[in-house]
Amino acid sequence: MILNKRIIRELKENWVRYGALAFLIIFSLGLVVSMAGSTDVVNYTIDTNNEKNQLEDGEFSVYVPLTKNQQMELEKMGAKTEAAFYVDLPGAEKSVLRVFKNRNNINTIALEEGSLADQIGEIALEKHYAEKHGIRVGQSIEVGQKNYQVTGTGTVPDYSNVVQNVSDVLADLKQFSIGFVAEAEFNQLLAGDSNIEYNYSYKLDGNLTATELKEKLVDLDFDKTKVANKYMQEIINTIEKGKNDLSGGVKDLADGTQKLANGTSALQQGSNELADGAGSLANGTDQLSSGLGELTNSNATLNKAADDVFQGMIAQVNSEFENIGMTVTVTGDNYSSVIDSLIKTIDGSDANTVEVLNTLNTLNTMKAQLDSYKAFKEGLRAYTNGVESAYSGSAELSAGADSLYQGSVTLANGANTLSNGSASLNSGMGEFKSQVTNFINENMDYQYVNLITFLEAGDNQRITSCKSDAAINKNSALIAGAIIITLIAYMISVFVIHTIDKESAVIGALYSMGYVKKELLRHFMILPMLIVAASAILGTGLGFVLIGENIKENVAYYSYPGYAMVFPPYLLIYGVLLPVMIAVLVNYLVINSKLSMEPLKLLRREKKQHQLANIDLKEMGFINRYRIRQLLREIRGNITMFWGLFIAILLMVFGFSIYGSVSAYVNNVASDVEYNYLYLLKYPMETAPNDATKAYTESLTADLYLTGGEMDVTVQGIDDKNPYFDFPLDGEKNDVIISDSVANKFGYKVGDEITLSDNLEDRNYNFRIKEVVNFASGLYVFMDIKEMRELFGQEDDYYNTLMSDHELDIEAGRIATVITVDKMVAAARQMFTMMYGLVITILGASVLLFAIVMYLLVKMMIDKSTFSISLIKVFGYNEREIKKLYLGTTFYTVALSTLIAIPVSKMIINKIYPYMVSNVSAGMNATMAPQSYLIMVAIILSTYVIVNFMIGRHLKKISLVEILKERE
Amino acid sequence: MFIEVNDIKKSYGEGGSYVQVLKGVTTGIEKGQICAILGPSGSGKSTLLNTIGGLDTIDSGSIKISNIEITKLNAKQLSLYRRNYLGFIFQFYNLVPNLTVKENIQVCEYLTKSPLDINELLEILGLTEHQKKFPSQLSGGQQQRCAIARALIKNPELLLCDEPTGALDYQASREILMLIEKINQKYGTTMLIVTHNTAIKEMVHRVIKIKDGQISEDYANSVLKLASQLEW
Repeated sequence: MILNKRIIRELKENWVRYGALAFLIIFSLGLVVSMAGSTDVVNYTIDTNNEKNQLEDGEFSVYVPLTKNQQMELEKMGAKTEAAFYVDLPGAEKSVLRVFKNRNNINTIALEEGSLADQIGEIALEKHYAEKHGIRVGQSIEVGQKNYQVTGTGTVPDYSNVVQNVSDVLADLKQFSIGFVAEAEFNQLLAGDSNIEYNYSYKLDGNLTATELKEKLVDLDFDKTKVANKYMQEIINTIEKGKNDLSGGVKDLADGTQKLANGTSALQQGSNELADGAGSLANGTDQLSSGLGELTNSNATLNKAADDVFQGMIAQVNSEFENIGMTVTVTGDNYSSVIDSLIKTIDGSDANTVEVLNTLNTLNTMKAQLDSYKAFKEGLRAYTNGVESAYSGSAELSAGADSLYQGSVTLANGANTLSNGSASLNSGMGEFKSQVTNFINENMDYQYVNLITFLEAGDNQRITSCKSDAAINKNSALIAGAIIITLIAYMISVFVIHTIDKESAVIGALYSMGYVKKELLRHFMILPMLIVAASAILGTGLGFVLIGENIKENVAYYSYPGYAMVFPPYLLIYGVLLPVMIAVLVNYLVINSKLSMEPLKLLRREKKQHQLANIDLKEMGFINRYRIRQLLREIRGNITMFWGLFIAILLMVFGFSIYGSVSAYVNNVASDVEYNYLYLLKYPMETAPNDATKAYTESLTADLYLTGGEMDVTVQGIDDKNPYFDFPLDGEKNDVIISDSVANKFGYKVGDEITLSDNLEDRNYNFRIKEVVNFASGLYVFMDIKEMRELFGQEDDYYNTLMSDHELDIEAGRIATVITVDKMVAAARQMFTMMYGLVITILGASVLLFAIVMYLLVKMMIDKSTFSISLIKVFGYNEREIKKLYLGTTFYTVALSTLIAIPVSKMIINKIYPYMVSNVSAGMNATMAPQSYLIMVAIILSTYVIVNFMIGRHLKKISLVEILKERE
Repeated sequence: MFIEVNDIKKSYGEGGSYVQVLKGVTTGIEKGQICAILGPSGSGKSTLLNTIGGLDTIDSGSIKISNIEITKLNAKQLSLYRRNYLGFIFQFYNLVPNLTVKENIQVCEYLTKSPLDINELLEILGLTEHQKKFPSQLSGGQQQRCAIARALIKNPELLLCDEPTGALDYQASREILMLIEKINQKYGTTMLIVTHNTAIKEMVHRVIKIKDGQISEDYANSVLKLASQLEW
């Protein structure tokens, strides 16, 4: 179609416009394709390398190396294993070098230069480490106080992200890396160092799942006496001693119980006998009491009879005295003294006659008789008194005997129960002893599960983070690219519409001649298609060329062999076809709508006036009224400009947010962490150093909604006296305080119930979030150390973490990790350095996009207003006034775009940023410092002023005769 | 009758802005005739031309061109009708600015399978030496000649001319009228010319005067003046 000849001329006439658009497409597609292509190159290189070098399906570590039989058993089940033992040794410039022996089957070494170490005293180094320390093949390096000759440099697929610990935020390639020595050399290291990590890599053949393998490893028997690590051996000894003590204690308890049972049996027998005896005693005392009662009843009679006899005798004596002529009367009370007196009187006289002698004899006989009777009477009295007392005593005895009987029955019953109980106890003790022994034998063996860690390749950030990092870049780039291409396609359509408007009468004429819409549509779409297609091809080509540049950061940070270029078909489709398709769609819709006007209206240059154009502006001043009318007349151009500026500002906010986020992370790490050293101990000392603060740390995993996977979270038990944290730990059981880092990363908030998992133990722990505190470093969840010990079944004084403001003197073998604030800050700064290039690129792109979009659209709107501008020039308006009227309108759009786009962009970035840093083990917010906003506004205003200056020059060129040229 | 216009009515707007532009126009034009439509501004003459050209619709009545009732045609059919039957000449030429003279003519050559000889046409219209020029490099008369060539290249049966000399000076106008006359004689093209120029009425076969939406005068000239003889 001859009409198409004008396309090239149109292009030549408006080369600035179309050139700028083409530049935007080439530039943005170049960036997008290079970013996405870099990802594909990284993925391809890593996948190829992983396949070639037999990347593991996972790895695990054990206390005691597996036996050959165990390895064979695992292999039969479907898990091929290879030892990847290592020892961390001091390397060059205070670095740590993790030394492995050469690998044969899994995670094999991809040499980049030189050869593998095959002699004692040789080592092959990870390539970045060698480069960072300026070590070349053939040179020597001191590792663990021994000199090694470097035979080669290379990479291994299980350390593409060379981090010391799987949960480390970033790799520090100068401070930590890996090296490989020959088997003989490694055996020497094994012999000399007790801090060997017995790590194994595994590959599954499809018949066994990772879970099944883990279960099998947990069940695998091992000889705990062969635990080489002295600290672990200490732990085993302590546990073993405790187990023996427990076992001995239970035996003593059982013996004691047996004795108790015997004793209580004897007691039972005795108490039964006592009860019987007490029964007999009670009967006897009853009878006795009864007999004594009867005796007591005759006591008075007896006493009276005795008294009567005695009185009779007194009377008889008195009668005798009378008979013998003595005028003496005696009584029962005085007879003895009276008779003694008589005898004494008679005996003292001189008369010694028979009569006297007879009298004396009679008196003595009388006295003797009376004494005898008196003694009988008193004896009887004493007897009856005794009988009475006996009766009274026998009554008490009887009552006591009854009580004794009752008591003895109770005692017997009690003794019986006790005996039965102790018999049961004894019998139960046997069972208890048996069960305790079983418990000790069975359950206390859990302490000796050989498996320490089990990590599937998919959860190992040393393996995954390179690809996932790249994937985030790729996804973001592809989405951003599609948005920018759509914007550019729309901008092109706006320019095409401008052309259509300008040539409206010609188009009307063509319609009049018989052209149909389809032909004109095709014609008007050719130019946008050509521009987009050519730019897309160039941009895509440029993107592929830039891959090398783009991938530099990735290559410098991650450890994998030299990359190989790939040209994935989807990227060619994305880079070339998608922009064309977007342009076809957008331009078709817009141009088709424009060309659907009736020919006559086109001929008459009739324009659809937007309803907004008729808005009532009331009593507004002329300048503002004119500007607003102009804005509404060019509403399509202004809306397009708004979106263009919006995207540019979105990019700008993104760039500043990355900058702010990483800067804030660097600053917060330095300010939030108050200890200088944190020692995570594999084998805690029995007594912690006095100058350190104890804590308890466990690593659990939490579901990460951002990736659909899991991420490690550090649960740290601290006490109220911990000087490095100033938040209170009181609260309910299982209450935790989380760092803002965790809150950001996982989207947790106060009051949430969260579940953290121990994948090795297959256990879940539920917590309730009590508070969120500032703590940027890592992903920490804090709780009361006592509750944590209880929750994790640890001793009351257990700890495995020490915090200090100075370096502690701890045996290296006990330490799992030392975290220092300096290291954390250095790692954060490294992240900052890595991101810096990206930030500059994004900001540069945003400013360029902002300027080009603004220039093109403002110029187009000015072009459309050429007639009016010419007219008001004719009226006598000067340059300044014309600028005020026309460029002032642009200010409204720029100001509105800025005011809306900055906060909205910030909200959008806030939402998507977590996804972009989802694999970073720290919660990072899209933070923007207040000064960043000011800088951004300054950039926008400066760009606006520059563009205005350029457009101002164009305004000057509009001649007064335009009005005549455009007369029709 | 090549063109049959029967009682056509056409109005614009509603309510207060309602205007009836054509109030029942009926006329007919034979094939090969040149017909001038005269009348004051706003009389409805351009509207009549546009409805015959299928550019504008009518409220009622019928328009038959070569026995085709064009008022019943849809947009596509109207395009086809214009493509097959019509050539248009406008007051302001409406040339494609970034195509040369020859290319502008070729734009319409594309629309037909049996175009006239473009070089002959260029020669007839005196454009041979200007054929590589762009419209902006031509005078108004030259541009209009180019527009005529563009309209004629597909050898249309009906040429509709809307104020073809309206933007031209006397001499250029005279040249254009002479060309129109020449083309009519050479190709037998039926022509409808809407014009303010009353002098034209003397060189055309038929004159239709419109006033206030109605035909006020409709007559045929028995004797025609040559365009070169016209004075105004």
